Amino acid sequence: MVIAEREDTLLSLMRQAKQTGLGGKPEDIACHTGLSEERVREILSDLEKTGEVTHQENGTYHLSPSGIQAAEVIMRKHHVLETFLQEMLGMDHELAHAQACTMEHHATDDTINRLRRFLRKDRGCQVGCPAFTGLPGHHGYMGHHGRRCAFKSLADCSNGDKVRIDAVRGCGRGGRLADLGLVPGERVTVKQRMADTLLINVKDCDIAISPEIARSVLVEVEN
Amino acid sequence: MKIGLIGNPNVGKSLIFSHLTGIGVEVSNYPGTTVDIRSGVSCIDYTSVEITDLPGIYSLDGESDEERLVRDLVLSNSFDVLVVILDAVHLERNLYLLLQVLEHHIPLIAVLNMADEAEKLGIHIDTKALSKITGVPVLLTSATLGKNIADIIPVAKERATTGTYQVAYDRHIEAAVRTLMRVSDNGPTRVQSLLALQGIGTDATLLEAAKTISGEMDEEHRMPVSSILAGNRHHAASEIKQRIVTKTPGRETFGLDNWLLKPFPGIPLMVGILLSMLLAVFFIGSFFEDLIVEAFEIWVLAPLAAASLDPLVYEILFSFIIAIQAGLGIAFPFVFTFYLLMSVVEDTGYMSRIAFLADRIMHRFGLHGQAIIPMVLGLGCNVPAIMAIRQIGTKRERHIAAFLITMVPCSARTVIIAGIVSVFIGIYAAISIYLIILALILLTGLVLSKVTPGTQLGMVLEVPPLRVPSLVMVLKKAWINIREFLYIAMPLLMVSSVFLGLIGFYGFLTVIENITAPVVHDILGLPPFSSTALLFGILRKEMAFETLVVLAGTANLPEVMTNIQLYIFALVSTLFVPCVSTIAVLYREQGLKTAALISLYTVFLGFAAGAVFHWLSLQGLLF
Ligand SMILES: Nc1nc2c(ncn2[C@@H]2O[C@H](COP(=O)(O)OP(=O)(O)OP(=O)(O)O)[C@@H](O)[C@H]2O)c(=O)[nH]1
Ligand SMILES: [Mg+2]
Repeated sequence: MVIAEREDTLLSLMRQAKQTGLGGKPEDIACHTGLSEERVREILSDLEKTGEVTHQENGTYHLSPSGIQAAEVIMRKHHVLETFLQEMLGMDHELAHAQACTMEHHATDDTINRLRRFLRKDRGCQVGCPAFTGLPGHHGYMGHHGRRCAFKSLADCSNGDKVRIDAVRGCGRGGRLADLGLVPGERVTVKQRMADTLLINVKDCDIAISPEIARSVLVEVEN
Repeated sequence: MKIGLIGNPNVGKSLIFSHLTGIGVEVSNYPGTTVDIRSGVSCIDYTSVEITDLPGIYSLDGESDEERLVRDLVLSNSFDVLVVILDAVHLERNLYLLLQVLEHHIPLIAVLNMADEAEKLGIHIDTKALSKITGVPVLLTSATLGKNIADIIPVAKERATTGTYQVAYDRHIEAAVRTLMRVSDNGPTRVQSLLALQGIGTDATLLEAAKTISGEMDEEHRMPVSSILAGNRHHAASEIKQRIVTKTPGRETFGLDNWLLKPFPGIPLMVGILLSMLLAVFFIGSFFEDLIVEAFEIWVLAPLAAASLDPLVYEILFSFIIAIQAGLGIAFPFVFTFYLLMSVVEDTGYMSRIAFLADRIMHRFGLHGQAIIPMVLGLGCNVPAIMAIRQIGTKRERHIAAFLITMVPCSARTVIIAGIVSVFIGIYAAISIYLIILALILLTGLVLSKVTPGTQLGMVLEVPPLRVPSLVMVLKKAWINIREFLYIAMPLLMVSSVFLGLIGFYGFLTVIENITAPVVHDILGLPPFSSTALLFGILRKEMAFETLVVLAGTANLPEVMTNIQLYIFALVSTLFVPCVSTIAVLYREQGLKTAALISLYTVFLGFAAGAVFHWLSLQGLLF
């Protein structure tokens, strides 16, 4: 239990640092993690002793370099677990996220590495790009491996959607996409959808992309 | 001194090249117009400068053919100075390439083209600031207006520098680069190490070491090194852009695209545009054909027949004149009208929109939307169309596209269809030939997509802004395309016409006709003399028609052939065997096997279609 609370606190600090660029206050962390404020303070002072956070005068806590590293390790664990639950076991996004949130604290590094290798094997282009089967038509996507990713891809977007790219699955056209500015974090507007072909706007340029390529771009809808 | 013009596709490299060298090259408003390198010489201050127009690229690390071609040239130090041309309107995306080129430490200057459009859109660029950040001279030009174009070479000669800017990469990448620069004995440069991390280069030890490192990094970041690099560069580009570009609200231009790109009315519009182009070629072409042919009959041929000459002299003169009549009178009006309209379509930027609209249907044939561009180009001439296949993805896609493009009726074949079928039988008959060809193309595509092995990637195509084509540019481009026809086809036609006249005079033609009679007459139901015409059609497609006129001795073909014979002749000669230039370019681009396969297939198709129609007419099922 203690480990879980520690790690949640670290993650919460990390998230706040990413969002605001500032440190976190104990009350915010408590709000985030669902722990009591006293408990958070206890943990924070523990963490301070082990050198993972530093305490500022104004009452905020910051992650130290070693703290950042620790938080990144947990985040990676979380990511791997969540991907595994979603993609391999077909779990719902929310559920997978919740499960990964508890599992991340207990899985050993070895487990995570093995899982990652397992995922990687399946993640080759065969799955990432349905078109690689060489069969025409867009039905090949479902038929090929029989399950659908719970991630939202560009292909699921409709006219006028403004999205932010989460990840681009490596496949044949990955390089070209990256060169055109389709990199994680980039904002994209879907301008027009014709059948499943999309006209998107990236960096002020209009780009037409085929459905199978749109499917390899995972996005998060803004607004 | 050697100067290379490098830049993203569709930024105006070719237009600048033709301004600088005076060489007319293809300039069109869609990405990927130039697929091959083209050099020219420009003389400035009594020294000659060799300028090279390169295909447009998005990156120097890319895997596509043209990116590899340009990278190899840059890495082998083929240029003393690089002129990096950027689109001022889409500066951020274009800066990405500039940052990459800067890494190569070759003296360069940056040219921000399309200044006129940027100004209209309210985009102001601080060129001084950009010059300060990157350390290279920056010019703001407008190629269509000719603004500042004259400064390019002087600035490139006197002020080109290697620049001072360096992208700050992810610290893991920077560490890896430092490691790699120590790994190999011959001290790889920074850019060599960066390329090696992406598996590009020739130094085996370096590549080996880079592979291990990039594998680790891949694992760590959960994305390939190339994506990390791309992300860093885009970030740097966006920061630079924020420092140099200010935008005041300008004109919004999305209006027309709202119509062109919606399924409705976009698709009916597309069909309408292509169809009306064809009809316009038929009508305008045949109008001028009538005029010219008649003028020849009255003013030249009639007096010639009246002036009782020596039979041999008469034969030679007659063949010569009838060749000019056939070339100028018949082929020229159609071909010129076609290229004129085609130039308009290319310059507006509608091509990429066609690709977008057609993407779905093209997937059925194992292709993707971008492949429609070479197919539409193929309506003009198959040769550049087949070269343009380089732009589209994988081997499988290229193989299918090569087949289909060769079947697309080029303008020379349009001459046959329009000149024979539309003029003598009727417009509906002419359209029916197009429909038959279309059906055969679709069928071939369906079958090929089933049997061709390999992978399919899909389309990623930039859609340029719509532009109003300028009359001068359209005329210039039509002229460039037609020039080849006048300089190569016409002389060829005249020589072969005289040659035919002579061997006809001495009776050799009957020998050929007797040999080919079984096929031509019995299977296709054509008059024996048409076999020679079909054979000449292999030289250049429209020569099938022109030679037919020469052999028949009159431009009024119905005097010597029935309607159904004319129809079958047109059908067979449009379908069967691509012309020699097409076969040659197929061989160069796709290899002997594909070239042979396609030639055989089209011969078969042509004769099969002809035979079917002959059989149908024998059964009394036609007309
Ligand atoms: N308004 C405007 N249009 C321009 C300018 N320069 C070029 N264009 C247009 O941009 C289009 C592309 O020009 P090209 O010269 O074919 O471009 P490119 O860089 O050679 O393109 P690729 O061969 O595809 O790499 C053409 O339609 C030109 O008319 C300019 O300064 N202003
Ligand atoms: Mg060009």
